[in-house]
Amino acid sequence: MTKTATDLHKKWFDELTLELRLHRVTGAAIGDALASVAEFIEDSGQEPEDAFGTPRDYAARLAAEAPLAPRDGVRRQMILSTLGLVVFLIFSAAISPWSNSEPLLLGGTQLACFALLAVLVLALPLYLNLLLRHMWALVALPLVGGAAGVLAALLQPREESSALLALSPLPVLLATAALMPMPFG
Amino acid sequence: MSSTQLESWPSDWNRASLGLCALQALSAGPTYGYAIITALEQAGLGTFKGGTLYPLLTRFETAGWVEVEWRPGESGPGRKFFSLTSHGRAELACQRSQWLTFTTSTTAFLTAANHRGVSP
Repeated sequence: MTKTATDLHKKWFDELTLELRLHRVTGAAIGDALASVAEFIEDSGQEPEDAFGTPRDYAARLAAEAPLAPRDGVRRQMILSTLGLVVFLIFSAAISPWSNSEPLLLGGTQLACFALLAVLVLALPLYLNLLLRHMWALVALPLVGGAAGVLAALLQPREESSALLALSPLPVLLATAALMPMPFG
Repeated sequence: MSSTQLESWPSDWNRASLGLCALQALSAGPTYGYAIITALEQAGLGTFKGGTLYPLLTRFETAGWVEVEWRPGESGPGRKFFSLTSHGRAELACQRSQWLTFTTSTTAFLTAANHRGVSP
């Protein structure tokens, strides 16, 4: 079976698809763009990179001229689901002190871990494209976020004297429990 | 129509004239990307990349100047044929007339002995 242009240059075509998607080019226009490139490189015998440049540059140039799809809420969904995870972490940290009728103790490092998680969530719109373009970033984010979560749990102060904050666990539990049924996912 | 012009023109000139020349290349009837580039090259206008032509054709399509039709190829992918709409033909006629006026003025200016705007 003869290999088509898209088989021979799979990586280039995959990257173009992703980049056009990031520019919110409609599905039909993406299919059209891929088929046009395949047609042109079959005709000219050129490499896609020579005839069209990098997928990122070409997608930007094409997207400036093509009809775009309305915003599809992917960013909103990702932020809400990550926020849901943070709410769950706080909820689970408050359960044990509440059941033992003890205050919810928070240490400095623990608060720093929560702050890091909050920054990761709030800054997500700024680096979402980086995540989708690079596999390493997609792997690193849950690792860093997970490590911050585990560290926050491990470094929970045992005694009130070593804690920075001592909160009543019930309001925290009620507030996070009220937030959790929200459509985060 | 062919030319032995192998010189590469300043990229600004190509950028300015490519749209008009691509519309002209479509005036003889439906054609496709590589054929347009070949026609421009054979006319001595320079070498153009697919990455330059297709966004321009997409702009024409969005503006309603061209319509497209996919036709099955002999082998491999099909071909996307572009053809001028009546709106596109009117645009070509208008741009061609403007270009001829502009280049006539430019040529007259470049060959005139005295072209100071005001007397010193």
